[in-house]
Amino acid sequence: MTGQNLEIRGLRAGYGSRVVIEEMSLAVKSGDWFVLMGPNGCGKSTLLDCVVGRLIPAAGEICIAGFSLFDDPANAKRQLGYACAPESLPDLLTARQCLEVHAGAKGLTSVGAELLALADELRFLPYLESFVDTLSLGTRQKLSVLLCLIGDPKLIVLDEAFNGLDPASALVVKRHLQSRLEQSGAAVLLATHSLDIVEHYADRAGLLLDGRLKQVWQKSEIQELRSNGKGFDAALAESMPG
Amino acid sequence: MALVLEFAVATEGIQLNNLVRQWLCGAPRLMSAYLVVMNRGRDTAWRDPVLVLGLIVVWAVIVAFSFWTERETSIATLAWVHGHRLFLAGLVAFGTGIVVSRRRALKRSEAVRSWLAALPVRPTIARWEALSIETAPAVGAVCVWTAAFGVVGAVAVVAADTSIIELVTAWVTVNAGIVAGAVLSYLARGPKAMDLPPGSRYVPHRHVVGAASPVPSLWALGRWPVRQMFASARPKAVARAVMPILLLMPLGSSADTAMLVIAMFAVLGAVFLLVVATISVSKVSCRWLQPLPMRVRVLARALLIRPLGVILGGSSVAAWLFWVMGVAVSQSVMRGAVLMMISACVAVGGSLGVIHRTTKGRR
Repeated sequence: MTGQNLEIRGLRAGYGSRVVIEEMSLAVKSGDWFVLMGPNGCGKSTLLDCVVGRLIPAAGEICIAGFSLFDDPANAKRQLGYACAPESLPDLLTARQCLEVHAGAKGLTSVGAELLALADELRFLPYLESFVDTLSLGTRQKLSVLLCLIGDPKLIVLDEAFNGLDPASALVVKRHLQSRLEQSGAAVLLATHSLDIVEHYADRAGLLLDGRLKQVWQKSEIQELRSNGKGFDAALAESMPG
Repeated sequence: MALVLEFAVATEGIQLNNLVRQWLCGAPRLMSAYLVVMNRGRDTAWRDPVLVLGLIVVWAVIVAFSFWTERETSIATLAWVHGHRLFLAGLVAFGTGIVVSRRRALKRSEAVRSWLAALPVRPTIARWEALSIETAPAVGAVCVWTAAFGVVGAVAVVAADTSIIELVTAWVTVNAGIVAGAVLSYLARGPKAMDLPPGSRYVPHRHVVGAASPVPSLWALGRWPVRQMFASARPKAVARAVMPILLLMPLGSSADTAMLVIAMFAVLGAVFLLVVATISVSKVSCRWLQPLPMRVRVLARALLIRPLGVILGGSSVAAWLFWVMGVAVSQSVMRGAVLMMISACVAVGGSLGVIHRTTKGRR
């Protein structure tokens, strides 16, 4: 065990001969909310696909809560929660069945009262018996987030998970994630373009450019950028390399 | 600024060098279809016109040689085509009419929801564009008929001094049938708009009121292929598939026989759709559940048990229908068992194959 909820060492990944991620290393510790930023096509989703085991990297090591994703995938994935893209959800299962399958695959005996309370807070419970293909984008996104949180994962991986969510639901999810970080020692790895999450929720933020993590802002630096009077986005842009 | 200029020059260069694009630039639907076709052949030798022309010539030589070896049959066939040209023209007119009419309904439904729907296109160009898209099958049929007839006709003329006028008459008559079918499909009343993809619309679903909290279980995965089977079996498509079967039944068949034939068709169709659904669902579900700590054999078991049960049930019903149709008991059981074995083997083999391919390369 390394004490990190996520540890990536020397990761290199891509598609065929095209290298997207080059020699990347990253550690996210318990209670950390790490936001991954970067322009479109810079490799954010590729990195997340590697972290959740959907893409096999060419080189490198990924450990989740101390378990190697490649040597001990079952234990590593037991510590992992991943909110997949809403269009990847199975159209012909009901929302309830999606929850049941995820909980069953994680070997749980129940879905958990906390999760059902979150579903209620997100006003998702009326949709439990609906087929996924009849749900709106935002409702599917809620389901995706709920599936990700099943089984109290130590590492919560979210890829643009707030897209399509109404502001009230997005706030509920953000607050819930924050409380999970504080209470259960989970860590969040979120890829997003939304700077308000960096400004208000992130403990650290990283800029991915050309397959490399070019810069990482610590919490103190983020707070400094918030309070410099120029506006957070302008201050962040000024502090970027190049 | 320099970058913008470079881009403009590059774009202009592409347009100047590509007459087709320039010609199609005012017709976005045709341009999009053209680009899709070009993209399919990207990074392959298929974009080389010399190679394509060479392949066509080689194909024509092979076909001509094949017909040359069977020239007597070819000449007899051409004579038959000439003798029955009006009948054939009527037949192709009927077929073309249906195809163009259905394509018109489909393409118009698609165009309304297309990403190009909001673009400003001149009404005249839009009409021509729609016409060329909708009548593409008729144009294709004319091309294929001309190519085939040209090769066979050349063989016939060289081999037996067949009358060119007869050949041209047959060629023109059949082509006229194709054109007439396309034109008549526009004169007839337009077909109803196509339905949206049905998704879960035809999937039987029990609505649970006041149900308890979700219970962790993988068994719902087994329902997915069965639901996919129902989703694939749209009532309209099933009705259309049944129609030819009824038409093929000899006159004088009783209603009992018709019912049995339809029931057998339904059972066999359901088993076929279920096998296809099982394989396709295996791939999608494997991809969906990849980030979860689940062994491949557990996934396969959860996915396959229910469809295999349904296949067993379907095969039993098929065996029973054979028996009702008058086949001996042992033969009926044998046929049911063969159906079950083949369907189960294809479903399990296909499912395991796609699961293996999806998870291949895991370290």
